[in-house]
Amino acid sequence: MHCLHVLGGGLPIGSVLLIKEDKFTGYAKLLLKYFISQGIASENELLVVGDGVENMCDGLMWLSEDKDGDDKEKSTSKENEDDRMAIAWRYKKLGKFESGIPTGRGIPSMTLSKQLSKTDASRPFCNTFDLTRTIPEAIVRDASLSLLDINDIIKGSGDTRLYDQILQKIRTMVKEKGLSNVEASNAREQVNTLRIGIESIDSPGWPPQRPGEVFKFFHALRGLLRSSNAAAVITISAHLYSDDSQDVVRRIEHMSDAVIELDSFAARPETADTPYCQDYHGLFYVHKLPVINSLLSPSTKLSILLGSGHSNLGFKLRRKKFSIETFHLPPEGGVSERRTGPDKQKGTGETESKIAGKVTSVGCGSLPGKTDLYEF
Amino acid sequence: MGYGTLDSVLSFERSNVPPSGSLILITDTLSSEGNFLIHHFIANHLKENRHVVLVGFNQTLSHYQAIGKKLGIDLSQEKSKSLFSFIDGLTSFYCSNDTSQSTADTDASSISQSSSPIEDNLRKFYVMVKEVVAEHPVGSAVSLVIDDLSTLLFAGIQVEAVLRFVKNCRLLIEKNGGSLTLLVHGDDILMHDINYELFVKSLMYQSEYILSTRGLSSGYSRDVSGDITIARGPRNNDTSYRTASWHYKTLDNNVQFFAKGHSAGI
Repeated sequence: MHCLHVLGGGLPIGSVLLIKEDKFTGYAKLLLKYFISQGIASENELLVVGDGVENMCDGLMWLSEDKDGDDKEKSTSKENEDDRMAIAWRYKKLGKFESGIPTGRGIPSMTLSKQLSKTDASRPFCNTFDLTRTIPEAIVRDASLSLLDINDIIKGSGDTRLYDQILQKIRTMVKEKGLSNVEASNAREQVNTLRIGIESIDSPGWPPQRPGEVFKFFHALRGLLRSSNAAAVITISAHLYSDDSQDVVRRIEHMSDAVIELDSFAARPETADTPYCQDYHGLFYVHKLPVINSLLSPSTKLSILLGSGHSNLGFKLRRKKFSIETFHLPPEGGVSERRTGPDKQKGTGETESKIAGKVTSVGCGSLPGKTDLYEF
Repeated sequence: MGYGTLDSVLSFERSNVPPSGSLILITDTLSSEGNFLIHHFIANHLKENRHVVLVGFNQTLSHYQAIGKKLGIDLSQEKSKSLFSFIDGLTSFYCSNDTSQSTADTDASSISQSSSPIEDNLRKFYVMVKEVVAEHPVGSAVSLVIDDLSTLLFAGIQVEAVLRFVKNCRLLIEKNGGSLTLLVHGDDILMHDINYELFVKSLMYQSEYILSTRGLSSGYSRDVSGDITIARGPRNNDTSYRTASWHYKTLDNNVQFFAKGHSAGI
């Protein structure tokens, strides 16, 4: 999962990742889907909470199988390397420029729970998913996937204490599956991990709660997760809050362990048709990195993108994958063919004389041979 | 370099321990968390064999222990020497009104009671703090460190109640001759809420030292974690004190402070 590459190869156990959703586009939802798919692939326990969660778990992406695509890419890049640089030959030793993360790179597993890596070291933490493939139904049926639709909670026990119900559900899941770190400290061998995905928390589809309830949920969730073998990814429609009430979101951000934001170019007319729109679909911000049990976030060292000191990240959605890369502006003037330049049909001598002729006849004017209205 | 730079600017009379009865306020923002200051003050106290009570609303004890080790103090050892106590405000704060304990009949009453049960919690919590402080020997100058007081306000407790809590804590500390260290969030966005602004400003007014960290306006940087201002609070009469403003960089077991633009990485 490319999103976790940014955080340094994974989400630490016991932490909460908050994703501030993009406006109009569903890229944040896609990230959450990646998280769920990865959970199914790693055979983790899963809990998905949201308004209409069945839709969310419909058509999840599945493991990419063809390695050929990557190989092809690699072989072509090799060919390119063989191209000799005739003029800028000094740059050759600088190596190939990479703005993203090379595919198939080993993922550092230090940030993730160590007991997991011991039990099944062969299983990768982050699989590569193919967006064109959907998850086989049999696998979804076999996965220990629990869905919690908020509409069912409301039907069951009314609008109030919604967050308590969700917490209660998580608490019982942790207890039933024996995921608590406190109780299961002596039986370390086969502790699974619970992945909690909450889609668009406190969005208009959710029943309105008293102010402060969402924050309390985050506070209690952190307390609960710290002592259990679980991690949560929560998306929030932060753009729905007006500028004056952004403080509500900020409070929650303070209570989350990691905060990322997706800012889609399609959200604003100013950015919707800019030249860089073709290359990226939006900007990717990292507001907070998970810092558990250390002064310095391990992500700053482990993350390939952040480690290089880049703070400007962009994302793009390709046919098969969602990728986060260092954002670059395209060359000024566009990447299309240059329109000015010497005419190749004619000999150089001729053009030179023609230009010289132009200069003498035109002076400061705009067109040769014509007296311009503003000529002086 | 390192934390020593901070100590030399603060230049407390008694070896890096804040003067008795003083309040040190740390304000931070999302992009530049002020936790490293909390850990530093705890370590400083314990290195001088001073009693510390830490109230953690934000993190678990293991988090503080792990960082303490990196800063050269073993919190569990200090705990067994009864120099250090930890009050868990993260997992235990809501316990009294958890759904797991309370049954469905509280459901109806919770609407009419509005936010008062949580303020009850705060009152109970203060009693707990008082008891823990009392466990330390009389006159042992216990210092109280509260990691993230903002949490209380965000959880819906009224400003007055939180300020009363701070005042009570302060009285408790002054009796013992210790100091009070508080962390609050000071993001500009949070100040949109006038109550929150009132809260932070009244804390500032009461404090002897104000340490504020802010992220760089240019965004994330590998070489500079943020900037920090170490100012004298209104209650501090030390006129010779000079406000310092630096950039800092968090390392694994230390924090470097340097004049702006003098990062080693530049």
